[in-house]
Amino acid sequence: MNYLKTVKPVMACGIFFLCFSVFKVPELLCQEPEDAMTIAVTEIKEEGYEPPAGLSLSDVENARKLTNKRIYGLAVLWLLILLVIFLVRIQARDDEKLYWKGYYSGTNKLE
Amino acid sequence: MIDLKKEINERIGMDTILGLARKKMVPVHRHSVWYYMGGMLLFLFFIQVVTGPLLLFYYKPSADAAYRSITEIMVKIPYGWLIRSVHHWASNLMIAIAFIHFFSTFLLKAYRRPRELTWLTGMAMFMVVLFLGYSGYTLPFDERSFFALNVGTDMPGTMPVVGQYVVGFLRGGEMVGPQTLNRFFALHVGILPLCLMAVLFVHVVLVQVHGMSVPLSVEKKTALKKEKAIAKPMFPHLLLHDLVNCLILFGVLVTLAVLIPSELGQEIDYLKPAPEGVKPDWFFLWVYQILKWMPTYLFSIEGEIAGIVGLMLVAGFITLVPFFNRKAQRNELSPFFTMVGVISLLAFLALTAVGYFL
Repeated sequence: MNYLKTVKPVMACGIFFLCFSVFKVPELLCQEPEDAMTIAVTEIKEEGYEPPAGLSLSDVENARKLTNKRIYGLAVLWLLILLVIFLVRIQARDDEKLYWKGYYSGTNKLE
Repeated sequence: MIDLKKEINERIGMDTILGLARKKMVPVHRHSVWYYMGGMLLFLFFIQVVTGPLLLFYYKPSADAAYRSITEIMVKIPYGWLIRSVHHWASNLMIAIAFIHFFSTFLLKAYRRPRELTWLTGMAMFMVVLFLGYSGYTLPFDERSFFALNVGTDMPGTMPVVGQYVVGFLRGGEMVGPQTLNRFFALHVGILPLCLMAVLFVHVVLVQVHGMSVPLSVEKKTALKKEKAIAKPMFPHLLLHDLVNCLILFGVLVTLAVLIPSELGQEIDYLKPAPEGVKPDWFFLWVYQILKWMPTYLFSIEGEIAGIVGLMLVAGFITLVPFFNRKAQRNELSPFFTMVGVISLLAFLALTAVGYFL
């Protein structure tokens, strides 16, 4: 019964999307693609037209620069990593104790 | 409420997998640290598998668009510089750790019976990882990669008999051009990762089947003292240590990516002559230095040909070392092969340093 309780909303969503696609898909498929073969006016080169300046190496160098935001992000990342390592070490130490008490070798002295 | 753990367990048998992992024991001794290299390599491969497709969304593998697309990734795409730099540094760290894994396995004679096939699959992966690094280096199609392609694809040409065919296959013609980029792109994103995954699967299965190799010195010491060897379960002990290693590695990786982001050279000018002192990426510097020091002729053979044939013979010898080292097969100490390993390691480090600084 619990299983059905979770599945029901998912099924309802599925049915909704199915209905939507049944009504919407033929309409979408029948539509003529608008201006599919038309070249946008802005793309036609006119006299004196100059293409927009591309990205240069100096832009790349700017993107590579170390900013305060990046240093802050790095500091937060290391804090998180150290926190997780601290938690994992606690777990590992606990497991180490259990190991020496024979918990993993089948000679469990705890029980 | 659904008991999610129970539901998942019922479908994929999580308890059975964990039970097997708990039963699997990993030896603990003073050389245990080398066991972690494999896990770190696997983690870095995972990073590459994640960041590679992200770059693939924006990279355009054609001679006239590749450079521009890399510029866009670096400048316009949100966090594109970070993803590219993490991909770049992960590949470098992967190669560095692969070298450490290779030398530690060689020196500890972990290729002893019955692990010959594990060694052979490891060597195959090592070659693929090196070639993955090289092919990735060529993809930005900037000046550096263009000359790296010229020099790199020229080298197999000196191989006897098949040399020119290999060059033709790699270049897709006589000269390096747009078609060469397409070939290296296909190799980098399709063929090589697939090969790597297939061999990796066999390698990991073999490691699980045979377990970790215990160095001979440790085995003998334990036997001498009549002590029982210490072994701990893979789960959770080794995996928790692996997790800590991977977290530190991830931190180092992102730090390198932020502090020294991946570079981009000048755009290719096909008419420009090769600048002086063009060098390969660091992991091929030792090869470059050996070939640089070769005389024009060695015993009436062209120096470059002699160098490449010599390197191929050394690579063949190292690959087949489990079959040459009879003493190790009989579980006896083999100081000659230890010496070969130490000399190779020192030569590799010295040649790389000389190639880098001179």
